[in-house]
Amino acid sequence: MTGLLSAGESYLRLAGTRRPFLVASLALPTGAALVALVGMLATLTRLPVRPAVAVGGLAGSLLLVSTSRRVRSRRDWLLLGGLVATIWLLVLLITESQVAILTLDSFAYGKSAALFRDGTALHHTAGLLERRSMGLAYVHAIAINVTGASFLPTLSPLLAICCLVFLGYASIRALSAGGPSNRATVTVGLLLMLMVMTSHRMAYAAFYMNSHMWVATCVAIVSGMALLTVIERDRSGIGRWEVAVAPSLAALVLLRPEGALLGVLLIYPVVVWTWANIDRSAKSLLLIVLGATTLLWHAAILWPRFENVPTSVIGMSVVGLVILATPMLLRPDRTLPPRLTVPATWAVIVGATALMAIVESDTVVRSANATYQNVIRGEGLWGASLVLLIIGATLAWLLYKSPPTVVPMFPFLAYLPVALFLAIARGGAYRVGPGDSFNRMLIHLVPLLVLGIAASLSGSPRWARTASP
Amino acid sequence: MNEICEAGEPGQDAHLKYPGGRLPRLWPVVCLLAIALAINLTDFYRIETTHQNAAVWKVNPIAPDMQTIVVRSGNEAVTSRYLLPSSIQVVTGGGARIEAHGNAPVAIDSLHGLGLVRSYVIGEHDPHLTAAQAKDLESWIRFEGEDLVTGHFAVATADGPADTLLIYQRNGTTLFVDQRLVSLLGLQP
Repeated sequence: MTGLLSAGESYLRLAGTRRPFLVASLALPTGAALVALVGMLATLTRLPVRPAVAVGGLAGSLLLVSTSRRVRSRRDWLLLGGLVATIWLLVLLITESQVAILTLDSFAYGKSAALFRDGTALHHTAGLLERRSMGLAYVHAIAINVTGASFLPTLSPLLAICCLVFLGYASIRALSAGGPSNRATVTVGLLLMLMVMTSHRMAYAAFYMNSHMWVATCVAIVSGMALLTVIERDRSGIGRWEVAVAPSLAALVLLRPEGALLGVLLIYPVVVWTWANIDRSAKSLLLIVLGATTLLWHAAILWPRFENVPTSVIGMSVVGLVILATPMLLRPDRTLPPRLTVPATWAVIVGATALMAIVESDTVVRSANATYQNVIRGEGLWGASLVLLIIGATLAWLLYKSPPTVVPMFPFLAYLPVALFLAIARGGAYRVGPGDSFNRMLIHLVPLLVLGIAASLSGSPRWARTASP
Repeated sequence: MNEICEAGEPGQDAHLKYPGGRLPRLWPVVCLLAIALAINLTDFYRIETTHQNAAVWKVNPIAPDMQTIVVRSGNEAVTSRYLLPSSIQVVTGGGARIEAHGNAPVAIDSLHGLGLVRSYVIGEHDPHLTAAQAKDLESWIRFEGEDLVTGHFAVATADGPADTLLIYQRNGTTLFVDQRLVSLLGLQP
């Protein structure tokens, strides 16, 4: 854990991130994402890079580079020391509590981790890699290398803490509309954090050996950092945000089979529309990182392993190619009118899903019914938490005028039809119960609702007169 | 959405300003969030106390005697009952060698080879397994590559009730085993 933290902290410093809350909350997930990316490159090149060697090498080299470039002040070194001490304390507490949730899915990841112990994917079946990807298993295999344990029971809880701290910070900054925070903004930010903490499925995911909490953290980081960049007046200390979030964006591809689609939706509002604080190079970098990772994982690693290549692998390879080609279409002199393209894009996604639904109406109807049962009727064990967050985000969006709200809310709204599309594509409807895959995927979207509420409340009430610029 | 400005355009933050330059009053939002939080907490408690298998804090803690079992070769079924001390070494009739390292004495009630896993899981051997759980297990085993599933053990600790382990193996690589699966799936009698 210290290695992951140190690697992430050094990387963020090199990216220019200086705000203590950002460094503290992003370091561990960023380090984990970097290790997963090293694992992917090792798998691609067939070099037997053991996960423990990957984290050690990465942490050491990044620490060396960042130290030689003198990117840290004395205060920053103290912060790093404090973070390491905090991580040790948390690891001790979590290990002592001996709480971890394992299901059959966890065993599949554990099996994959055991097979990654020597750093290669030679013993993996193609189906195992395609279905489980490799990010989570590769990082859990650090435990096998270092202590001989089967997995890292502290990974999910620590990522959950990072996710919460980041969401709290991003919410307070967004609520303050880029200005100084006050008691009200801090209170709302803390209450939003508590809303996430007390959602039963989020608490469950915090101790669950699965990729859900990590994916939710990546979603929070990508969307939250984009939101901060758009909304903050004084952006000092954020640094090159696109460099800071790039590992988390790429990690989505290595954590979930549909991760690339989620990544596209997350960066879509940032890339397609014109924002004063986001230049073309930032957009291009995000697209290149996401496109290259998608293409490498699906086309270069998975594809050759199959005799009969699944449609999903072919489809995701095409998606990767399209993402990679998109930077060439970005023209500084040509911008799209957001008022039209926001609803238009959503309409296209809904329309495409509706067309498929005509062919596969049974799957769609059963999936919609299962999701209704899970979210509204309580079968998914969300309690009222998800409904309350959705109502809150919707009301805030309707009552307050704040264009940056589209950054977190577009991917949330667009993911719902995409999820139905995934059900059709896999040929199986979602089912009633907490273990249903879409019910678990909703965990990934919770950070977007929190950020959406904060972003909306940063705007001006629609019932009040807006100050003239 | 016209407030999304061209790069570098002045006045880009106009939408953020409340009349008079003040932030919007957020205290009504605080009240609403506090109510929502109370509802959340009530739901959390209700789910924790009524859904044993899905609860966060009711899940068995990480077992200190977590087993690491290596199956060297073979998939022969063992139907005898063994009561062994902390370290187990079982050599089956077909040559499978099973090593378990743990602190707690365990007894192996039965070992089902690869071909028997599914029949055990979906069969009538375990009345505690619901149809939905059996279906989940079956589809999972079938999908994930049957060559990775080596055996399904029903075991009992010396001072506890029967327990169940799923064991994974490929080319003799270390397996991933945990007794908590039992309670998670509701298999425990």
